[in-house]
Amino acid sequence: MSGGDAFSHFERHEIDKAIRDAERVSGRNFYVHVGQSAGDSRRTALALHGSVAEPANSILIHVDPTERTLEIVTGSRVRETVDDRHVALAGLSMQTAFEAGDLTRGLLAVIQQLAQLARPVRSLHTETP
Amino acid sequence: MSALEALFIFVGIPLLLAVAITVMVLAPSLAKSKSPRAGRDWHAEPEWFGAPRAVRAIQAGRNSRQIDTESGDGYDPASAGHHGNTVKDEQALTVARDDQGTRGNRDLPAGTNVPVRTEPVTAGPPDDSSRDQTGGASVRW
Repeated sequence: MSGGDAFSHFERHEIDKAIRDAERVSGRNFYVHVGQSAGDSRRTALALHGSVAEPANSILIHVDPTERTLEIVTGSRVRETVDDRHVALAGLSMQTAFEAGDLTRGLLAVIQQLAQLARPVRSLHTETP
Repeated sequence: MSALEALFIFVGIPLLLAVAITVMVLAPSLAKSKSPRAGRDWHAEPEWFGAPRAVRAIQAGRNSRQIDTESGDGYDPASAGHHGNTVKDEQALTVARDDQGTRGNRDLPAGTNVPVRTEPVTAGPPDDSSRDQTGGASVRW
């Protein structure tokens, strides 16, 4: 790990794998950005979310280690099935790990929880005549 | 069995085992201690996960207004963020270019000189309409 890197190669691999799994499970696009915000962290997260290919079907996690904030932005299509209160609860899952300085474990927890929340709801009665 | 052999078997081997176990236990925490801690003294470079092709397209010097990196050569479809990244505006390019996404860097040929950002993300105010449609949450720790 070179100086100044937030994550080791192994940690990056773990996060990448978690994103792949989350996308497979939920059918949503996941993005994670770890870095300082320009001013307000929420506004930065919204701007980052607006810059991706399919914002409506995307979930962006922005971690600002300087301000110690975690921002989760869900697109409009994601929001139809994922309640903001549940997203906030998922965000809390990282708290213990982040406080211990383990960003990777916290991110993995958040990604996994959001993937479960964003799973498409299967209806068993759509084929009923 | 000579005294030297006995010394090696009953002292040397246990000592070697003890040292090996100690190193294996301490190695992960020693490696982790190099990581910067969250807080005001955070100094690590910003990192993107799940946005590989935006960065690759920028490196290829394509049109900055409408870059579709779907057809990028050598892209690994199994990698994270395989969802047809299309960078829509200059602001996004600024963020992606400056942040040097992890996957993007990994895809670059060895020896490629990549400019590294040391300042905060330069993101302008978001579009009001998109803010109304998006949801999510903010958490502090």
